[in-house]
Amino acid sequence: MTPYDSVLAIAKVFLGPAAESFLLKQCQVALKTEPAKITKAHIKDLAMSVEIAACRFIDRAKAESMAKQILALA
Amino acid sequence: MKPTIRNKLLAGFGGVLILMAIVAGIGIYSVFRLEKSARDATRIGGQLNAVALEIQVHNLEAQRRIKGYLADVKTIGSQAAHDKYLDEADFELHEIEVLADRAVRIAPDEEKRVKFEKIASGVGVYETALKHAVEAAEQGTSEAQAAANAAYDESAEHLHENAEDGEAAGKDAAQTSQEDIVSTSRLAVWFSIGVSLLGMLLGIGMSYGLARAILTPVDHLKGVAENVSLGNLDVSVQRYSEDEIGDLADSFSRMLAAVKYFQMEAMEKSAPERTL
Repeated sequence: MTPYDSVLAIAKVFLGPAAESFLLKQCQVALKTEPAKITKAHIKDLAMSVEIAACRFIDRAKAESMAKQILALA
Repeated sequence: MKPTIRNKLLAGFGGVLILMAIVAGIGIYSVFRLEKSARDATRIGGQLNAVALEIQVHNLEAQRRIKGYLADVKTIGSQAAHDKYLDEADFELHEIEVLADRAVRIAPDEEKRVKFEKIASGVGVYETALKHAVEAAEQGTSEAQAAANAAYDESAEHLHENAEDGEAAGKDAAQTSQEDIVSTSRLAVWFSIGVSLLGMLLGIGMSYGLARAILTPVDHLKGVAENVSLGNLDVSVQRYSEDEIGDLADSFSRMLAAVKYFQMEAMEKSAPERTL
C-alpha cells in the first residue's frame, strides 16, 4: 500500500466519491506532483493543504480530523 | 456491545419482558401467599373451634359421670361406683387437659391462648374439688359431704364457664380467619394493582426513551435531506448515536461533501468560460 493509497483511504471516509478527485487536485496544485510519486516526506504538506481546502465544503472539525489522521501517516 | 438499533430494541423488549416476568412472578407469589394464608387461617380457626367443642363435650360427659358417682356411691358401694363412673371421668378430664394444651399451642393470639390456659388450670382445680367430694362421699359426714359437693359444684361450674369461653374463642378464631382471608385478598389485589401500575409506568418510560433514541436522529436526518433536496447544501450532519442511524448520518455526510465538492468544481470550471 503506497502512502497515497493510505491517504485516499482516510479521505474516502470524509469525502466519499469526491476523495480521489480532491486528492488528485491537492497533489497536482499544492505539491506539484503526481499521486503515484507521493512519499512520506510529502505527507505533512499534503495534510495541511487538505485541511485548508476541505474547509470550503465540510465542517472545520471534520477537516481538522481528516488532516490529523493523514498527518499520523508521516 | 455496540449500541445498535437492533441491540437497543433487543434490550428494550428484553427489559419489558423481564419487567412483565417480575410482575407476573409477584402476582403468582401473591396468589400463593394468599392461598397459604387462607389455608392456615382456616385450618387454625377450624381446629381451635373443633378443640373447643370437644373440650365442652368431654366436660359435660365428665360432670355427668361424676354426678352419677355421687348419686350412686351410697347404694352400689365405693368400689363399684368408682369403676362405673370415676375411671371414665378421669379419662374425660385427661382428654380435656390434652385438648386445652393443644389449643394453647395453636391459639392465634394471646387473648384466646389465655382462655384455653384457664381451662387447663381449671381442670386442676376441678380434680382437687372432685378428690375432696369423693373422699367426703366415701368417708365424711353429711356436713363435710355438703361442703365438698358445694366446692365441687362451684369448680364444675367454673370449668363449664371456662369451656364455654373456649368455645366462644374457637368460634371467634374461625370468624377471624375469614376476616383475615378477606383482608389478605384485598391486600393482594391492591398490591397487584400497584405493581401493575409500576410496571406500566416503567414500560411507558422505557418505550419513550427507546422511541426518542431512534426518532431524534431520524428527524435530524430528515431535516438535512429536505434541505439538500431544496438545494441548500450548507447544512451540517450530526452523528447523534453510535448505531445504524449514526452510520447512516456518516454516509449522508460523505455524500453531501461529495455533492458540495463536485458542485464547487463545476462552478470553478465554468467560471473562466463565463468570463470568456
